[in-house]
Amino acid sequence: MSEFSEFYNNLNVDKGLIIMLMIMSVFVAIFHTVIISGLYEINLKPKWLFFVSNPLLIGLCSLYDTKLAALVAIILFLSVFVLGIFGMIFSAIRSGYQSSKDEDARRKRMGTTPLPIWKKILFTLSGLLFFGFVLTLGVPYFIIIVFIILPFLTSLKPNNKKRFYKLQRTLPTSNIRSVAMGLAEISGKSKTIEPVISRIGKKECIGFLYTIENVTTDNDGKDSYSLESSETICKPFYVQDNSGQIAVATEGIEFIDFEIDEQYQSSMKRYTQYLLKENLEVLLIGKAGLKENNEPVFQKEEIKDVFGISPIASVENYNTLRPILQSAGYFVYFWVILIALIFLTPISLKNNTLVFGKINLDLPFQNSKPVKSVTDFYDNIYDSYENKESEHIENTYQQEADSAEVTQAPE
Amino acid sequence: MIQIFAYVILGLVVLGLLNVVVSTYNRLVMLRNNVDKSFVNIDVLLKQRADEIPNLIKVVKESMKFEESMLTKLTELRTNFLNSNSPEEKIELSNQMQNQLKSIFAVAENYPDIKTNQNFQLLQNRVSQIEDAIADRREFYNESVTMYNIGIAEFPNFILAKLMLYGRKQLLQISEQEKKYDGIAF
Repeated sequence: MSEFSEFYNNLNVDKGLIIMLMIMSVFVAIFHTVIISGLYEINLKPKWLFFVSNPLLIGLCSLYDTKLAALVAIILFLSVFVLGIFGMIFSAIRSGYQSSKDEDARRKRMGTTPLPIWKKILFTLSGLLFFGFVLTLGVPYFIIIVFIILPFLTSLKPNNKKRFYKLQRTLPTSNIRSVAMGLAEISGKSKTIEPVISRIGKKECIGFLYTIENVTTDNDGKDSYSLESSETICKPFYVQDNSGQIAVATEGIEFIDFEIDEQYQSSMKRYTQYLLKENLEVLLIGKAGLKENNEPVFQKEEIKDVFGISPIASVENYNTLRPILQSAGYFVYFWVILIALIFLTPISLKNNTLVFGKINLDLPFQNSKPVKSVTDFYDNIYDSYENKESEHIENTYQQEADSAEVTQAPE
Repeated sequence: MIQIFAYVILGLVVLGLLNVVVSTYNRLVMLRNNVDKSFVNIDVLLKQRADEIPNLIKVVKESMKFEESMLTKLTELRTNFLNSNSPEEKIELSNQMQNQLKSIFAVAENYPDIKTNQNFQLLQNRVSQIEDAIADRREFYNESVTMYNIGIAEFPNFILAKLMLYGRKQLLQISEQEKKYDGIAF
């Protein structure tokens, strides 16, 4: 407590700094807004709440005491980390709960028993333990793992759409009359069995995908969209090619890269509709199986967890663009590696000549001290660079000391 | 901070490369398995066609007494096919069976009582459907092989394919006998 009082009393804040802090708090408001609406999924009203409340709070406090204003600014800054960490825990628990529900539904469809409660508890505890372990590594590693590595790994996680596009590059297209049981790819024209009426425009179709997105407008007037809900309604239908036709059982089907049929925006929400129409040339990946009456049917492939339908044109478009994107990816990889190596190479200028040192491959923070406060965190980062210099200086002194001749002091 | 940034970049690049290697490996394994599976799927239909032969012989035996050698030959081919284990031998026997079946159906045209027999017509349709499906599956097999051959030759897949000792696979060829066309005789 005395340390805090000392710190508070020693704060030296003038009006210029207060203005600076107020401006900084607007940047902090960006993080507040993103965390509250992204991780906690709270619909902020008005959207600019933090952009006003943060500088206002600092300004009002400065009227009472400038030191208090500085303290509030520090608290606002730290609250980003606290809110972010709790938000991630909250978001992870919520998505874990959702995944557990989805897994139960999948198992129910496959006719297997749902995951026992003890396993779910075990998974949750393992997650929390991992989180705790990452925290013990120290704040720098925590930030790197949680904010960079985990999101990157999450982006690699496969989903139905990724699996669909990956499999369409691997599976040959079967003729419908001779499609073999199991995982298969078929293509042909869609044929209605029983029509449905779409949400927008009341159009007759085989099925539709209807999405509602929240619209957020930034300071530059740019709109960004986050998915609020998505609904796929699709009745069973036939796919017909030159060789025959097969019924499609649509439970669990995903509409992939369909053209927008209708779209409008109202009350900061965007409504979009995609239609599966009669006679549309489509490509499907799923499982060929048999119904109870031994009729062939195309349905969801539960083992690979894939069942998608996409217009042939979209698939062709993807296949055309993919090699270009892949080449761009290799190009970026090459340059990113090069940049990283340049960052790790000590470069100095001596006598108008650039001198390249050895690439430094020592891991940072190896000598970090335990982090108990924010100051410790910054000290660690600072030390990780200063140590090298001090080591170098110490080594120089040691060399000088070793080379120095030991002389006897005159008596 | 730049140093940490560099390490993170390198780490992510390594993870990304690892992901490329794993997905390439999985893709090659899948392509190879597709080829094996599509070959076995032809086998399933060949077996189905062979299973129809006893029924066919039962239907035509009484009326086609004079063509008994033809039926005996077909039965022999079927027995050999069912006992055969090598894929090449199976294909050869299956081709011979196909020709023999064609001959029987052609000769049956000379026997009005067979031609009008409903069971015979059903069997003829069934065999014809299986023949069509076999043709489709052969095409499918060749497509699987082509995708596999392209897959193992693409960059950077070919590096991993070499390490995994994955070589090119042969397409199913149409035999000279099948290609032979005698023209239409009136």
